Amino acid sequence: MTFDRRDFLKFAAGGAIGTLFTPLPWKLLDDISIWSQNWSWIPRVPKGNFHTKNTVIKLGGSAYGAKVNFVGKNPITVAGNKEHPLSYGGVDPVGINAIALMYSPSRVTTPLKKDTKGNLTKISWDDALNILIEKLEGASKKHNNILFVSGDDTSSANEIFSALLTKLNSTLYFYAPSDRHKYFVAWNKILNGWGEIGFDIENSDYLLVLGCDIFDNWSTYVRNQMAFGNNNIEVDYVGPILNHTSVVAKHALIISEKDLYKFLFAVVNVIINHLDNVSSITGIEDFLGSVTFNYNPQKIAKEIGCDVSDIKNFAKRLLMAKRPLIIAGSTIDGGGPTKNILAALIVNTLLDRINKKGGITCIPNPPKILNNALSHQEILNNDLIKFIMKQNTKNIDVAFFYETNPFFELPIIARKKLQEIGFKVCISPIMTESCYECDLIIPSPYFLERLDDCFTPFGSGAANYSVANLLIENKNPSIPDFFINLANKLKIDLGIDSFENLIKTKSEYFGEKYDSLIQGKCWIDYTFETPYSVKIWNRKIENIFNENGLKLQSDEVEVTCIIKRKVGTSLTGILPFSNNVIYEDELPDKYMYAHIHPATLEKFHLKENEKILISTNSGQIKAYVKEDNGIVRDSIGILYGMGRKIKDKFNEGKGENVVDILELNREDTLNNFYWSNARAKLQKI
Amino acid sequence: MIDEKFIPEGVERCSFPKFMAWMFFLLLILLIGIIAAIKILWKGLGVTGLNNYFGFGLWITFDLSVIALGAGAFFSGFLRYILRIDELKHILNLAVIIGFLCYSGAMMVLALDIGQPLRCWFGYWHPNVHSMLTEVTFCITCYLMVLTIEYLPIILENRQIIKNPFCHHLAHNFHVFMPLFAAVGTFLSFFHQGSLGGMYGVLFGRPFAFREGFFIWPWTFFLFILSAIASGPLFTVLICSLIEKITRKKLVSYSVKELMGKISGILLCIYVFFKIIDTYAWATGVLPKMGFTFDQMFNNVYGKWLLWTEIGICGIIPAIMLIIPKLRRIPALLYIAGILTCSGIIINRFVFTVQTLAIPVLPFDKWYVYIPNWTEWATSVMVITYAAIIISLSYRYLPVFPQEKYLNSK
Amino acid sequence: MSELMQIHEHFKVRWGMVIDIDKCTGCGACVMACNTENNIAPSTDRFNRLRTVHWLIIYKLTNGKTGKEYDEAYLPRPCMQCENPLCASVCPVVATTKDEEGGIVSQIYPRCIGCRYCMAACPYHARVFNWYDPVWPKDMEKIITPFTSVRPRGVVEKCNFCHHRFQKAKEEARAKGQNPLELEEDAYQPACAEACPTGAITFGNLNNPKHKVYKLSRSKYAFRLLEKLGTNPQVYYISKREWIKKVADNYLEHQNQKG
Repeated sequence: MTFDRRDFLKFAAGGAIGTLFTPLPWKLLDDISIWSQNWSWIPRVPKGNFHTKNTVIKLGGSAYGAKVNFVGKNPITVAGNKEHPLSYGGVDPVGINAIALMYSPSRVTTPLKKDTKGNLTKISWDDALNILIEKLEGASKKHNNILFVSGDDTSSANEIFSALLTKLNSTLYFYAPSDRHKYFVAWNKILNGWGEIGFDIENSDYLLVLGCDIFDNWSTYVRNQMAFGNNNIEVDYVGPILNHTSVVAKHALIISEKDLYKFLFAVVNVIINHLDNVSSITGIEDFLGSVTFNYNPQKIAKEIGCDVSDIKNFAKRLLMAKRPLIIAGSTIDGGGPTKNILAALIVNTLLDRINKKGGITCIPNPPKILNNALSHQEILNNDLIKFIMKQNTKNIDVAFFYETNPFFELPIIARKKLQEIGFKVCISPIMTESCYECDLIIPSPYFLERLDDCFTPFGSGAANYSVANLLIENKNPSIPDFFINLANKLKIDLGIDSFENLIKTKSEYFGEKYDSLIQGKCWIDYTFETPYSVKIWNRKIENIFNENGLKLQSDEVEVTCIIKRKVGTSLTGILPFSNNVIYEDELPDKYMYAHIHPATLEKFHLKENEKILISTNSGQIKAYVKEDNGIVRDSIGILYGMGRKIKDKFNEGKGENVVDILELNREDTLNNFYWSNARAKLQKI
Repeated sequence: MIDEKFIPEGVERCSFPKFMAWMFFLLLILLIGIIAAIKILWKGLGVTGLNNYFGFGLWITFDLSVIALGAGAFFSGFLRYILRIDELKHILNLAVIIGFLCYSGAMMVLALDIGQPLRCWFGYWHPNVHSMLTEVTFCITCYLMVLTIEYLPIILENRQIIKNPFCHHLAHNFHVFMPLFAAVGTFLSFFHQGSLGGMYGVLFGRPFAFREGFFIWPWTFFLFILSAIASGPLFTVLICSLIEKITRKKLVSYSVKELMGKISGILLCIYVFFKIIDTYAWATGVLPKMGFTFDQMFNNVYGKWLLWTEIGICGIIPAIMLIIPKLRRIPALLYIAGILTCSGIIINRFVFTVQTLAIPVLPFDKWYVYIPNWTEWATSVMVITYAAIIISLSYRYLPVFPQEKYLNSK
Repeated sequence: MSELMQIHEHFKVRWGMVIDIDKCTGCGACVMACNTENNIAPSTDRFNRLRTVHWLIIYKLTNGKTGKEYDEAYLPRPCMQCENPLCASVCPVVATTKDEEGGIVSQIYPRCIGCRYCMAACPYHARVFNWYDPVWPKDMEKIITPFTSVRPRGVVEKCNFCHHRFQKAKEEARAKGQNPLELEEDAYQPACAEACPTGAITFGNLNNPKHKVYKLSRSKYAFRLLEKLGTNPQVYYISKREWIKKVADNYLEHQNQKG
């Protein structure tokens, strides 16, 4: 049989037509839609049983209860916990990123040691333990030779750490600077109040917020937002820059941070004749005299650059409110002057808002289980900045930085003082700036990887206690247990054998079942301290207010920080999903925006989008000019949280650290430091 | 010459090495385009200058322009076979080739432009009858088939191929049925030219493009047909003259070109007349209803100058030049009018594609500017080069111009 | 003319959103919740509306005034799920439709050919294109949820009101023997509404008087974006501030004067 060309053509044509009647070509075509969706490099969605567990989110922001959704063993998403009084079902950007952060490319996974050349090498946990034993044995021979800074002021871990420190002959135990500390100074030390200040925002009907951003990053911001959303609360805001609180405020007024207390006292001056039942307050006569004499609205309005009508309006709104609450705070947590906080506490007292529904609450101090541990109040009494600025830090042999990042968030001068410490240990989940400055880095388990507890984050309306259970496998030891182990090796008895038992003991103390706490229940207690001995005015307080703040030269502007929680915290770095919400008008490119009021632009002959060099005594950064009507005159606003040295793609190449140009200023009478602003010179480049 | 026996009888062509040099030059440019195309297919459309605001850009402008300019094919066919304007047969072959190149080129660009080229056939498999783009897809592909059928007999007429009896028969039969194909082509073309306009006219979320209309067709539907048939013949004339310039030969008698110019001129007059009415109605009717002013449609990049250039310099002026016999009899003026008309149509397609998308519709949004990057340019130039290659080959080996022998006989 | 191009569907259930701008602090939690829920890859570069994949975006609005009159607000913008979705009628391959009870405009990724005509059609910029393949850093792909398939490059995507949650709610209702067309408000909430810490985002069936959105969307302070275009969004906004209402649509000068 021959097969000629014609046969071949017939065969080919017949075959082609025949194939069309089979499902083959059609099935193949249809499958294209499926496999052009499922390339091997496109990740598949997971399969598994969907379930939900409760936890507590911390991560450098304010703690709150939340729910974590799992598929099989893997946690996938986070949602708020409606039953938790610090969440009410709300979440914040940090919480939503919490799971992604566990897989951050910058996680510290093993202990790291810095060699003599400054390179980091991986070491085992035993090596880390041995290094610490050696260092601590040597250091403990001298009194106060070991310093510990804790970035978590709600955890019982502080008891273990501080107890160990005491046993090692040191009381240098500090919380990282925050407004919690400033409130402690103002309330407990100056005004002679008792307990710790909380805000009963839920029951208030009018909030006057001075300076801080209570709906984005200050105090219990998730709960604050939910309380605002769920209840009929009117909010007014006064501060140096419009923020996430001012945007939902009924009235917002832009006034420099250094003048906020003046504004508040001028408001008091207006309502002075409407105050009832004030005669019983200690120091009231002197206070009213001082306000009448020094804080005349006309004079103050001129001084701080607002209208008298503004002061009167705010006074009217404050008077009209049934349950007003005045909340003052720093633009950058822990960095602001104490004066504003002090003034707000005085006026709250004056309006009889202490321990009243919707007012300021005086929360009893947390219990202490370990005998040798420092109490919460004792730790608050230690002021890190004050200490390191006074002491020769070269004489300190060992420092621990637990879940805090001082080398990012403190002004350069303070960082330098910390740098001088002989041997520095950073305990951190992420390779932050501080890790790179330290000699030993210990990985801290994160979020679901550890058992942790949380007692009353700053700003809570009442004492509360919740526990986060260990929810996923973790091969690294928990840090408190590591320290218990360290204590054992140093032959020190801390009085507890595991962190879990410490939390169990604490649960018993609160009369709450441990099992229900780890399942998400929050213990809450509405008993408050009664501060009998509050004195709102005396010579010293008057002196505090008579002190002048930052004085600007005519060619200077004041630096103000813009804080947005969506950017992340100093501990987390820029969050994995932050870049999806850092918009073009927030970060133009690798340089940042300097927000400047149009009048100030004119004064300095600057135009929008020009590049400028901002220099202060501390340092300098470059930025593009951005016209912003929402900022006080003669100042520049710069986004905080940029310029990270964390080495991953989420963090690299994004702006500069505004803290680098902030200066450490001193409130002389209080002997307190603040750094929320600085005087800067601008130069076009 | 090495390829002597393939070259049509009685015509003169340049030497083979010279032709190869020319081909090599074209292939080099083509290669750059191919590299760009591979990069796009390999890495995704992220490597282009397109973005979420300008989902359509240079490629779509290019597509719409070549499809409009390629309208010479169907329209000349329509005039020749349906209206029986016999003179046009002298240029019809070229018109068909240009049409084929324009449409096949557009298809190539579209294959790059869509994000999932493997799914390009979904348009036939899962068509949405409400979408103007479905109509465009169907008509363009069908019409490309028609153009291929129209182009085939020209290829078959190659001196060597025609010797094959089968090819000879085939070519003959194609010729017999050509009026039918011309009719089908005309029908298809009218619709997709219109639908391309309709694609923009229906965008009631885009004030620059949206138009009221007749039945389901917005006015842009008709304007796009008119502008395409007005510019298509002129584009054919321009390409023809360009080939004449390059080859230094007369290929089509000027009377044919002039006739094409006259037809275009009349259509351009009608088009410009309606375009002006449409613009006026849009500015005073459509825009205010949407809450916009005429001024809001322009900024310093996409300025009113584009509109004035499109309608005035590239609309009214060439229309006048073409409609007055004295003027269009001067070749230079005919060509200038042709260039202006074609530019006007390109501007029109550009603003409908790009300016439509540049205008902020949300009041709190802002203007964006689209700048195509090298990958888009390279692939567009690639298609032009592809066309140059096919035209060069066709000119060299196929009897494209029936008048050539006569016009160049000494 | 355009009436004929529109798809007219009258649904018994119309899922809708009412966003109270006076309550939105602009914190960004909704966007991030949306990203993690719907497998939008974390971007390593700062957001770029021209390129970054996003379903929900927060615009910062200002009233353009100076001094004390100056005011600003944040406006989250999901897909408007228009009642006249132009994007659906222009799609050549039926990859996006509004044909399901509930009125959510779907987006079928395996069907989409990536022609981007729908993006040209949408005046809200609610649609984005996958310019590149999505990338999760090593290990971070563990956070991928089973709810939404991961989209390859070359397709368009948009917010779908967390449609998987709608499906789940309907299944649960059926399992309990309830009518899936009469879901309780709590039974179905998209991730953004669930995450919003001030409750600025309210979600529910616009046709069901028992749902909060029913009343809110009919409030005199309610408005929609670009109402004049006739897209009829199922997303409403609320603000007592007059200027915000003004910047939600385009007005000519004389229209402005009338207010």
